[in-house]
Amino acid sequence: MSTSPLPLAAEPAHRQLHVALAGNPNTGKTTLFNQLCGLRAKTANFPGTTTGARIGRCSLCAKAGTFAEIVDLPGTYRVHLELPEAQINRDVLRGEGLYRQPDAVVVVVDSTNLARNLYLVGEILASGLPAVVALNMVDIAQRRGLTIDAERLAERLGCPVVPIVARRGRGLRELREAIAATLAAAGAQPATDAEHRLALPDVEDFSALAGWADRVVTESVGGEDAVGSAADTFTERLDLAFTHPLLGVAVFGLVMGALFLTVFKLATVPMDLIELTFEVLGGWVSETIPEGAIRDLLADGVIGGIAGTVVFLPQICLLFFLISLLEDTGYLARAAFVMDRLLCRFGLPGHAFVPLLSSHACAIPGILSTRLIPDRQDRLATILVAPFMSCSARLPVYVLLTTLLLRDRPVLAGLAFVGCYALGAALAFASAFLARRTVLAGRSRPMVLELPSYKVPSLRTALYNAAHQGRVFLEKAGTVIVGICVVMWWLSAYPHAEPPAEAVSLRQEAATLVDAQPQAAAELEAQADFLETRHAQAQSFAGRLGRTIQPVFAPLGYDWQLTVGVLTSFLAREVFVSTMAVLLTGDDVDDLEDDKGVIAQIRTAVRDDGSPVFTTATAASLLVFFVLAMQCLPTLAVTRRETGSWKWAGLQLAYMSSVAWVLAFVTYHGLHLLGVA
Amino acid sequence: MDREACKDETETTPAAVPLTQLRAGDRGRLHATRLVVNDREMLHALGLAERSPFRVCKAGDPWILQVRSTRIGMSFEVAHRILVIPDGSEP
Repeated sequence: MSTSPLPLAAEPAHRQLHVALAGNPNTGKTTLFNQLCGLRAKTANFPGTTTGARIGRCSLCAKAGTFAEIVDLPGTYRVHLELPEAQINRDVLRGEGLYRQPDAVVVVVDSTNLARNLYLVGEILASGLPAVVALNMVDIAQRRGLTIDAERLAERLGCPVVPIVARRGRGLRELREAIAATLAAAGAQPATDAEHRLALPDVEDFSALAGWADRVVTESVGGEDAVGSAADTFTERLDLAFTHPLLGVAVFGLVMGALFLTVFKLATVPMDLIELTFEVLGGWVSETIPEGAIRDLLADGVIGGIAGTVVFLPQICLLFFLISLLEDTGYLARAAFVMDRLLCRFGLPGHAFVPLLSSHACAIPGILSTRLIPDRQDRLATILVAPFMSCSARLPVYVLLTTLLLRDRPVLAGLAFVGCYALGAALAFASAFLARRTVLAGRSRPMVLELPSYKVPSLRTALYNAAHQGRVFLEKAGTVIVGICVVMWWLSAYPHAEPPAEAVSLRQEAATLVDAQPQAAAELEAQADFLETRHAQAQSFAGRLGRTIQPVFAPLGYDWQLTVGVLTSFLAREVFVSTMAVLLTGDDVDDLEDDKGVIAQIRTAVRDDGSPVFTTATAASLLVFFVLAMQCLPTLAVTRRETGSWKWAGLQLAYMSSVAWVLAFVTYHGLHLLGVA
Repeated sequence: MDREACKDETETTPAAVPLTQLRAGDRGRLHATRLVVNDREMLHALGLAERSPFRVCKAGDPWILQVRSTRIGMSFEVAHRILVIPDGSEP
């Protein structure tokens, strides 16, 4: 976890102006930040937390060239709440610890819900910091018949109030000017009519604060429904449908099904393009750089590692784009209640459903999307169990093993597939149940949520969020993943072994036949390649490690070749299939469906003692192992990043590996006891 | 739930009933809560404090209340720990 402070600019020569952006959740704060700072924003963690902060540079007055650094604070209803996001707001506003106190605070408020938003405004005014109130969504307030007198509101609050519509960019010039004027007043509020200002109460006394907010609203807001208690029939009908015990679940299933189908389908095209691009790049490096260690490192290690990271990007960006759209509509808050009924029985919150479902595509975006979960204990529990969900990288392994187990019985193979997904989900829920009674003792926090108004989602905000999340992934997790990939490549490729005598002799024989019988010569060359690759794998550090730790996997029925396959698949699960193909047949496979010959060769492959590598018991044991094991180092890197500690990543690895080993052992010996060997 | 933290709020008046006894469309005022401090303060921050008027938009898990312009959703576990005085039943 990054514990570096927010990167504040150096002060001496030109003191960087520093503005904090605060507000309740769902007030359009992030939309305003995007409008003010654009895509140039950078990210950092708030010190001592894993909460990401966005920091951008905003031009306040183009002519004068005045810029300010804007920090987007986490949304909070009040700064005095005992919640992590409120604590961050408190620390930043007080300039405590590693923070520098901001020169001014912009408080974004929802015009349609002014009284409640004024609790936070009151607390910030009480802090003594210069403040500007950005009165957002004034267009919606007007449509609801509310007339907000911004000048009178400014008088009552004693600070500038600027009506804006952040989504459409309306009022931003005036807001920039108001911020500039406030900053120019050098710490003092610009002149306001102190005579009309309503004295602030003790803001820690909630009743007094609420009374003050009510009075401010009464004196500055007009309209038939100034206090906003009228029933909104449209919203109420939608809420009844979306939170209904049956209809709500059906709608949720449809929405999530459409979301993940879109992610799966649309992401395939850019993923294929990325793989192709890196393949071409690797080929170009191989042809351009002279043969040797540097070429291998660049072509296979570095480019392979970067490709293995960047290939996740389309899924991550697309998922966050769609989640952002859904969140913006207001639907996700309702969906969280639908799933809460099921998940709370296992100690997980309703919010956990999106991450768990995302993990079926890939655990990495799944874990990243746990940022939707407000409670840290709930979030940790979800991160710990998310990799149990069968991801798309497991599919090639499932195809290989179910084909080996159930050839010519497609219905049973299909059921075995479903069984793999069910086993993973069952263990995820059981593990969450266990975690909430041990390492993360406690129940999931009972849900209390604001149900925001339904809105047409903002494409611009969704695009910003998708780009932001993609960049965070590349900057934070990607660097670790590339490093891991390079190390795993090195372990599998080094030290180079001399070709075995049998391969040398086959090549010599092929050389004598190349003119007379070119096809026979090619077959001999292929056999020699197989023997060389197999020998190189066996002599590599990974191969030697496989032989060394093979006794650990011997009780599961695995020989050294399967052990090497298990080890190399820590890079990524699908690597198991290519490793098996290389070790047992000498070919590489891209598509198992089109390569029945390779599967047949794998099926008949033998161990050093001549017995088959894959028996029914061994294949079933391996299948169970791959359903449950934490065979994905990139996911571990993301867990470390999101939990802020290797402790949780280590626990995840140890727990999942142990569960996988024990259940694979039970499967192997259970089948032996039943006479199915 | 940490009942110790809110023991002083468990006193009831004859008219106070759990929120879960109200039906959709009913109106009332919050009387007290038997929630942990954090959850109680969250309700306050959302605008639902002692004596706050509200309207029940939806009864049944989740309960949905409208407090001024804010719609608050809450699970059964929270709703049955909230004591309210329905409109028209003040002593």
